Amino acid sequence: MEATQLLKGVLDAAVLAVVQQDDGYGYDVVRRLRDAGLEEVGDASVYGTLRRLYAAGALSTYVVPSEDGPHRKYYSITPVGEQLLDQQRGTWRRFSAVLSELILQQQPALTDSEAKGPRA
Amino acid sequence: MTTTAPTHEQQASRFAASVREHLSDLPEAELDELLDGLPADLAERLDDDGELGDPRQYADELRQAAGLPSRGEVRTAPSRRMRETLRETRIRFAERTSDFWAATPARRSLIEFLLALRPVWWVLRGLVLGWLLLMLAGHPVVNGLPFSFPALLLASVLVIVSVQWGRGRWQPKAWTVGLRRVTSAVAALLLLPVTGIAWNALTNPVYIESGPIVVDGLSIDGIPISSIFAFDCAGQPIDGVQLFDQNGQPLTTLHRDGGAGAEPVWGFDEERQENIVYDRNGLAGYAGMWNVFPLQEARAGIDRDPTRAEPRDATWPLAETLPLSPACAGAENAQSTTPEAGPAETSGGGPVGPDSAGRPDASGR
Repeated sequence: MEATQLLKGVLDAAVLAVVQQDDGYGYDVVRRLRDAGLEEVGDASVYGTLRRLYAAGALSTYVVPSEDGPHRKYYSITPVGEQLLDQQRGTWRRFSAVLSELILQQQPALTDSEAKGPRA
Repeated sequence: MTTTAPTHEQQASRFAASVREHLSDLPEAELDELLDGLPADLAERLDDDGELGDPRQYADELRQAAGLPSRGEVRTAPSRRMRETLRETRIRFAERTSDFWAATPARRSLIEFLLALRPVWWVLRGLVLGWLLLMLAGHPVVNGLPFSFPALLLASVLVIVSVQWGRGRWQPKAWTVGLRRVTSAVAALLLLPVTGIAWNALTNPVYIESGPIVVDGLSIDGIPISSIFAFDCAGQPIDGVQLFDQNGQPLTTLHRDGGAGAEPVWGFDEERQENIVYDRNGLAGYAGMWNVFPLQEARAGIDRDPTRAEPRDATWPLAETLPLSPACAGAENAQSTTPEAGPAETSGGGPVGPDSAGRPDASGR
């Protein structure tokens, strides 16, 4: 399973978390996600997510003009966004705990028998 | 990358425009929200690693992540579908065209040169539209071009609007963009013919005639005829010739339809530098007999008043002319003492009777 597939479900939480740390414009958010280790994240996916979270009231925007070139649209988190992020943190904790338990416990067996198997 | 390559800002805005086209099925407001700030993000992305990828894929990803309906879901009517197909074709064409022109430095510099000429096009667009509007309004033209103060004013206003449009100003509503497109297309179509008309007007000035020039009285090729000199069959002058037209009306050289006070146009004798005023032929016994030729002439030098001169019998422009045929010549020679005419008389002139033609010399001279 590709990381991008996995990412889809949690991108909202990741974006909210990044914006909660500090306000940011589209590409800035992309860059911070990449720096954090999510190299596969697509620019357009992040922009789309930002837009969707904004439409849902989780983010607010403000425009910062630039001396040279087009202006920047900054996103900041709203109380609704904070609430949403809290929920998603809870969900993620439970989910990751369950999956870690499930996947990582069987890891030794998998490496032995299936690492070079036909399903790889 | 050469120095003439499009800047990251240019690339970014082109890419953003392309993405926008791919999302064009979405409401305008939604698009504005979604793509606001995108060019800046894209430019920065290019500064980082120089890759944007495929705009269509990009648009799809954006759409999906934003939780917006995919193109197929929005699409409804067949006419809409056709529009979409047309739009796709247009986008592909535009992309291919722009790729072609961006491919080599020479092409890029040509495009840059043409872009530098755009203001010229803006001005021409205004002028051509002004011309069209004035033509539609039925403005009078000189040489195919309308010249008047209101025309100048209108042209100036349109040039200003056109230039402002060109600079991306004065287009608050979507319909003005449509209007700009339509007017640009019309202006582009008319540019060549209007340029041709203007060029023609500049190189071949045509003066408007206030009306056809009408020459009263008898004239030939617009030049008035004042007097008429007749010669007989033998080539000798005839005095007192009465002339009539095809309707049996007296043929005169009177000016102004022969009404009261009419007179023949004054003549001018180049050789003697004399003005000539005409009067009735000496043989014409009645006041209205202006159809008897040649007319009498009152001559005076250019510094004198010819109307005060005494009318005299006309000075003939030719003393005589060629006989019409040997027979006529013979008839003439019968009464002539010219020695060369002698043999002609014996050969052909003998049987001819005495000349019955009016001899001008007898009466007029």
